[in-house]
Amino acid sequence: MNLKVEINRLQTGIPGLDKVLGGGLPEFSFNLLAGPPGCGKTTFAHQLMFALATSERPALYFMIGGETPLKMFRYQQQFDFFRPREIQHSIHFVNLAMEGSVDHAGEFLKRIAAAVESHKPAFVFVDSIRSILPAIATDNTSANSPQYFMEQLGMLLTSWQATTFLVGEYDSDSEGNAVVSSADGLIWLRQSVHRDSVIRKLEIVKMRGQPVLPGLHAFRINQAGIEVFPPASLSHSEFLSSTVALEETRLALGVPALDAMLGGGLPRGYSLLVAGPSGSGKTLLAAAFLSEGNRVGEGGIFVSFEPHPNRSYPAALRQLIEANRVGVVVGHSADLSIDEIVVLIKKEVERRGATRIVIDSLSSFELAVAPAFRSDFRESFSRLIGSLANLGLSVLIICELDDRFTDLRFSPYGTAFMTDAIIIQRYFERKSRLLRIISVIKVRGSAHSNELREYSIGDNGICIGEMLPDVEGILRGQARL
Amino acid sequence: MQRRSHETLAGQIVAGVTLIEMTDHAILGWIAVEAALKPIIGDNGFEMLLKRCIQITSASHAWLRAAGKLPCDDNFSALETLFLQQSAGCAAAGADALFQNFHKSVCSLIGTALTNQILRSVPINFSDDRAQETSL
Repeated sequence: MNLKVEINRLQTGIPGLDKVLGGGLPEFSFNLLAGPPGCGKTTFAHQLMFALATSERPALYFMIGGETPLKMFRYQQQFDFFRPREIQHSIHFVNLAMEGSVDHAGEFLKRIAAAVESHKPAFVFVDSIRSILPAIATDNTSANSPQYFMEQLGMLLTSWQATTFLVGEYDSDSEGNAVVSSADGLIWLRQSVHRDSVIRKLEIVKMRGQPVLPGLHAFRINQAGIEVFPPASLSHSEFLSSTVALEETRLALGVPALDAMLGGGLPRGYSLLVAGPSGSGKTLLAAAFLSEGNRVGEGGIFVSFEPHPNRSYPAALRQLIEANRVGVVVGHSADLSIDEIVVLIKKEVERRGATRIVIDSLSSFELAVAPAFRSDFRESFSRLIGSLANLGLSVLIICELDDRFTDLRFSPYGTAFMTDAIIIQRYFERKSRLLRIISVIKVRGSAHSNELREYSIGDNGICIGEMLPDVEGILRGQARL
Repeated sequence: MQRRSHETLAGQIVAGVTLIEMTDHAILGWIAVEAALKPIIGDNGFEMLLKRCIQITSASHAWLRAAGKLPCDDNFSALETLFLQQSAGCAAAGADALFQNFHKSVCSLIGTALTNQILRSVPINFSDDRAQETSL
């Protein structure tokens, strides 16, 4: 017989948060929601409240300091989660401001206790605890200290079995010690400005009784409310439960001769880097990859990081997009994080059941990511590739690379080793003509061609030609017989 | 005579309600408004909102000006006294206008849906546009 108490984990209604919390919010926990002004604490609290409260399990929201209640209502109702019908029905607001009266711990506790007894809430929010504590801290008697107040408040709300959130405007972890030490959970919201982007991040500093995802997690506030972007999972496939080893099957790129060069197509679930200079036909190859997927019934997604994505699409790709046979994910905003991109891609993958992804391109991806995330771009890119591979997706990454005829490079950020396969395209000069060659550099765990093959681009896309066995110096750009 | 909350106060006077009955209804209405709003916006918040609306409404019902100068008390006794000093028609028109302006004022801040949700237990008809005679 198991005599341990089982902690019920509540689903918070904030996308991505439950994963970061390690499965949800522990019921009856006493939590501090902290952060500097303007980082989204009140919105966070409201979204939680609207998700959790029901007429059988109502919520009580104590207001003191900060925004005036009418202003708070005015702005919070702009979010999709705000439902006016719940106000003073399943969600009760109580103003704790005490005009002209003595502000001391006992008085606040009395008023909170009276409202709790009256409404019997399952969830209690105090916004903001920072406004109460200084008011009661003027009198240093032990019965009126912040520590005493927090102990009493914690005891009251725990005995009423109310899951509690104290909202507090704190700039650093060292502030609000009385609150921090008494809290079971500490959720810290942070924001920073980098050039023209504002980055919001969340950290679960502690959550008693369960393992949380450590570190800072990007979140965004939009019309729907808050969305948290947990790190891409590297542990196991979330969507594909097939026991077939992915790499045992191969998929065609849509250019038969290139498939042959790869050793019979690209192993399923691999990431393929296609590197080459401007105009060498990388996007055309990507279009062939998605067209072939469409032909054999495999959904595809084109992920673009260009500010004006559809200007330069090849006709075949444009047609697939217009016919809604290929989905498009546009990742272009000033505060984009890699984890958010993964979430966007995952949503589209789930929606379409897609298995083929094109990322256009590595260079514009790096430019599209907010400056704050660029310093760890390689690590983040590695996470992105790993997470897409773990979803069982086959990924083609376009990499714009200037031809340099003194060295052989495959990517500008030393990221080539992270991908499973590499194809390069290069220009070379021969008899006053600018010609192109293509070669397979690697296919992890598989034999592949080592040929340099000439290719051309025509109305039917990429046409792979023959090797040029009698020609030397192609990689130096100047072919000689 | 029985009060009918779907009617304006002026409508009730036309239907035969006395000045005292109409005043009782109006004051009960304000007590209900106060009970619904004060827990949310606080004593000061409610008092400021009410005073502003009295001032606006007194532009067309000058006798209400005196209420704006009096402190708000628990039972709206100052407002009650003022109503009872007017003719029934005059008091009802002023009382209706004050309710409508108050409602309109809250609506402009937090929207009609939320205002009506918070004031849903108030036995007053706020929706009659005929009583909205003052532009906010």
